[in-house]
Amino acid sequence: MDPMTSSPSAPTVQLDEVARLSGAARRSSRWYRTYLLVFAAASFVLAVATGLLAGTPGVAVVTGLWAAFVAVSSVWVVRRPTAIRGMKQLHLGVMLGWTAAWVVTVVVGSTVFPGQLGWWVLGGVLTAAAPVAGAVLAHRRTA
Amino acid sequence: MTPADHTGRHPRHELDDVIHAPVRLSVVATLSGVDKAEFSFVRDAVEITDSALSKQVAVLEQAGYVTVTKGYVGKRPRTWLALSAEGRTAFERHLAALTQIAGQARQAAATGPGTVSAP
Repeated sequence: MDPMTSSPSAPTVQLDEVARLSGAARRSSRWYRTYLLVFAAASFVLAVATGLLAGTPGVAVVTGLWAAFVAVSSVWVVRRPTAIRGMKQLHLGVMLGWTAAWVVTVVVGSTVFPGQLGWWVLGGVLTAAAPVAGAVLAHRRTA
Repeated sequence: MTPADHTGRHPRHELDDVIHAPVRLSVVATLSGVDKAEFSFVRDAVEITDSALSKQVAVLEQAGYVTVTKGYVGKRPRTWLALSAEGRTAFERHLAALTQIAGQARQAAATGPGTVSAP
């Protein structure tokens, strides 16, 4: 008699093992959620610092720090051993949203609200929105 | 009596011969949870040697179920494994058959011996 068709344990054990391995792989890609949350926090700081330091050499320092953050985090990302399901589309969407929010923040902030910190705080929230939304999606996909 | 699905066939006919091997099932299960995974990650998850994984991946690749991408991160060579769309479909079909067999076997065990026979 084929144990696969007669014993309830053989297929059940296989299904349990499938769930265990698939879950472990999914959880291993949670780094992307963390990355997006750090990116969101850094984006908020970038926007507020840009507004606070507008017209001073401090803006160049902030821009340099941002470039360093992006470079270091990018290296960290490519060294991760797994990639979350649908990562290309998710990352593209987050980056498009972030770029649009950043352009709006800088253009409107420097032309309509120059020197108004409130706008840059709002801009910080706007630029953080896309990565936070991405982190929520990433959390759901890796649960 | 032989347990069968609505088509009259026993669900074991739906099991995929390529995926059914335990190590290959583990490899595919690991890859099913992600877009792609590094070779070393899969090796550690499945707890086999490099050469054993290479052999099983070659079978899966030949069946069109897994894609293998080689590249570099800095100076270190990396190999990435991913489940193809065809592989994901085959895996889901295999899982559905396994689930059905497990359900039928449980049902047979609950109703008593001698109610299930291999076709």
